[in-house]
Amino acid sequence: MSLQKRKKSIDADVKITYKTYLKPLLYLLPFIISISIFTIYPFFNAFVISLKENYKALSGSFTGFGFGNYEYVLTNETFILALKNTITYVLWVVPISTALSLLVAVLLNRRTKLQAFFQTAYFLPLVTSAIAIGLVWRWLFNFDYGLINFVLSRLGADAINWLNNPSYAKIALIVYGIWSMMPFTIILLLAGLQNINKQYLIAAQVDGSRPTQTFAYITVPLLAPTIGLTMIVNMITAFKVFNELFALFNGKPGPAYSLYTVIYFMYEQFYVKYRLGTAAASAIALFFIVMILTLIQLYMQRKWKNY
Amino acid sequence: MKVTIKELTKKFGDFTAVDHVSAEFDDGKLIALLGPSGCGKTTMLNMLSGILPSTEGKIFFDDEDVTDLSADKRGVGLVFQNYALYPHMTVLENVCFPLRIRGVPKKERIEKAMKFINLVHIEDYLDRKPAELSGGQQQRVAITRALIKKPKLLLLDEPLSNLDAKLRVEMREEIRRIQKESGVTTIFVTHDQEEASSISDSIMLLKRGVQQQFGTVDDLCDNPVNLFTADFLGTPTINQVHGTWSEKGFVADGQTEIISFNVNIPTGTRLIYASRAEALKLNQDKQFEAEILEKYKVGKDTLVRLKYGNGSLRAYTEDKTIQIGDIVGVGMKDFGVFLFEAESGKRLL
Amino acid sequence: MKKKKLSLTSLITMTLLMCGAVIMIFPFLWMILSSLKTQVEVSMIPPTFLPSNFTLENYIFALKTAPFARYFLNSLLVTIACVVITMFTTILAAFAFSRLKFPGSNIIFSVLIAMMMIPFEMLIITNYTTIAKWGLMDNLIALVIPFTASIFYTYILRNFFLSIPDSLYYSAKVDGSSDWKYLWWVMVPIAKPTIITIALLNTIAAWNSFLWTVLVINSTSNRTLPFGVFAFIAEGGVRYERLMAAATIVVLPMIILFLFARKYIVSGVSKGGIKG
Repeated sequence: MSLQKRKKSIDADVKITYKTYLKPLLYLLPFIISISIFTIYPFFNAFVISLKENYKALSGSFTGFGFGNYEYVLTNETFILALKNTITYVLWVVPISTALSLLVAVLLNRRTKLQAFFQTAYFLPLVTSAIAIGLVWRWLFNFDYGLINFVLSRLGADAINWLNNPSYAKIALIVYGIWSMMPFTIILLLAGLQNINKQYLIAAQVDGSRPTQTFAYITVPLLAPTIGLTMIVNMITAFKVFNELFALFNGKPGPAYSLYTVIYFMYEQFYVKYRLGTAAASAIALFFIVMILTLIQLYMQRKWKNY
Repeated sequence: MKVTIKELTKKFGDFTAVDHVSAEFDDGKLIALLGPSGCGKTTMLNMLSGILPSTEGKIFFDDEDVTDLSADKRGVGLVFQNYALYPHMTVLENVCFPLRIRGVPKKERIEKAMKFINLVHIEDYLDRKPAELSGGQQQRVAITRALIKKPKLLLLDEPLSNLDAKLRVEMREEIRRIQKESGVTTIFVTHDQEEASSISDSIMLLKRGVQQQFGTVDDLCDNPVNLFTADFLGTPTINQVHGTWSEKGFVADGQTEIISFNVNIPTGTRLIYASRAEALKLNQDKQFEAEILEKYKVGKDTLVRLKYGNGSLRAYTEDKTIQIGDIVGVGMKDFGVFLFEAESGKRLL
Repeated sequence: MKKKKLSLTSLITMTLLMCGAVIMIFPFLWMILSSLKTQVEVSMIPPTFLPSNFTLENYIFALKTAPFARYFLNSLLVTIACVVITMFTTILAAFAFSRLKFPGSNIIFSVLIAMMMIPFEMLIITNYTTIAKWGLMDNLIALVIPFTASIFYTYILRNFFLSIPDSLYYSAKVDGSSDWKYLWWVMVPIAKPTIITIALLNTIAAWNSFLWTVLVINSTSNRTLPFGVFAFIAEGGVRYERLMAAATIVVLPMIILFLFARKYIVSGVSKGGIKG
């Protein structure tokens, strides 16, 4: 709002000539060039490619414009499977990682000792390569020598073929996904908790509220916007799951090709099968999913700001 | 409810914020904790509410020792300086919150709330969120929320400091009215002596954590125990002239005449002569002479500033003929004139 | 009575936090411990926790079989190039959008913000073609140039620049400073913590970048560490003690970075949540 006003006042006072733009343009030039070539152009081009039928990247030839690629993608069994898998992944990973992260954030917010140690322990997965750590999880999930099966056997359960049985492979991927999503979520929720004015908590105590009541009636409602926003950001991240899958199953989409995700489908269409048109069409499907989630986020942000 | 504090002390490390303060606050009174910033008044309020544990000393509500009771069990109402209204709740929800905590059914709590809502006059904006209210409205909501649990004691932390000047006068009268109608013992913190004198039954004046004087407004104005009290209260600020005791009277620095007082003080003691502006009379019962430096119209009267000794004195007069530069005789009434020992600030007369 | 209750809750808090911390950190621990074990020990049941005799054999094997030193150097070069160039474009653009207000700048900026939601994966197809056309396939430059500007970092830095009072700019102007000097002598030093933060986020992202690398790099000598460790499965066989050594080589630099710059990274990430 205020920015809008400021802009208007500039418009009113200053005569606009090419010189008005010259200096800002010089500063913006490197940024604009890079963004134009590698973000703006590819974005629009993705739509164009998706409409080209039988597009060959090397020769640039195509047989005409149409919705053939979309038709192919939307009726393709593998894509439907990928979409189903991705949604399952999102629906498991996001709520569980948020709930666990909330617990950790609340505990960390109590300002216990060993803060530095706990922060390091909980936030470390944030900075480490998903591919390298994916190998570690592969090792942990190993059928014969993996630590997880060893623990299960000690508990009296049978060893599970985590990585080769499609239904268990899904669980393995979700576990790894939850683990890698938690640091980011904890940081956001912790920041949200620290933004709550302590005075409200003291006021509630003076009003006669017990700690559990204060948490339920004051902390959680005040944290709700942060929780909501964190979940949406995480949903967007989870929809793009790829590295975790790639590392856990050695570049394959799960055992017996059962764990396709949307990005893996796109990757395969593009890099393995060289079908640029369908790859672009599936990328655009992903874009619309992300866009809808972002719009929900913006809507909620506006709504929640209303206090 | 009567509140008694005994030797109440709060230390933060080496720093003593409140230093062995004892007092009794009578039932149904409005009491001001007054002092400059950093004098420990808010610390004391927080100890009374139970937010801060005390380092030493005891707090009694009537005969019950509440020193070790936590804030949620003391049953006091507290209004924060910035009101601390829960931003996600409407006015009505805010007001009902203390009852909701106690498990009072919704219908009943709204019924109970209405009584206080009518008392404090917030009925017009019950459905609004705190962010949609003005400062004065937030203040009212905060007071209602504090009153609804029928506290035995109401505490207000700088209740008027976040309001603009006009609203401040209006709200302080409101606070007085609400306090009288509800009859709850109320303690409020302020750094503004005018605010404290205008509405409170009694004032406790604090300086660096030490109680200076506790009494009614008149007590503190007419009978200050030390220079700090005399200086802190009253508008305009009390006149002060430095000087020495010479046999039978006070001699201001740079003056020769002796202003005689009927009091026994060792000769040569450094003193501060202090008098309220309204205690001086011009051209009547002359005890010393002074020159008029400035004059202002204040309502019906004229306020003049007189040069005397190394300082100046303010006085009121009804005489409209007085001009700047006139030398006038100054007399004193039998109240509002004090002598303090310069070094300790102790009152000698 | 009261004190006892307090210490009980903090005891529970500590226990829960400790359990969680162990789970979070365990994969790292297991990775390092496994990498120091022999082939025999790694496939023992029950598994040993600490290696019974420490061996660096796996690291030596990894370095001998695959050019991990080369991978490391490539990763380092690519990361430094990305971060330096991105910071340069980001600082200039953030300055233009915050200080050099020009008609329409807010509209352009809003459009840019809206573009933050474009998933990078959507851009890959065209960028791949562009890089191929420019003849940069299988060249380290291909790992740098698509990542030389960031709307997100510009957004963060612009917001910080906006919080620097205008009066500073005018007083510098009165003192005879040009915009260019003002930017580098006044604004950049003031914004140093924010710039460090975004530079660290950028470092982490560049170091761990994988999908794009797999697409544009072919030859062994041009691989970066994440690609190198993935390819190592083919070269070194599925020998987990060796894979763990390779994984440690990839992960360790970022762990060290995190230990030293935790505060900056955490503050940067918490800013990341409010983008949008």
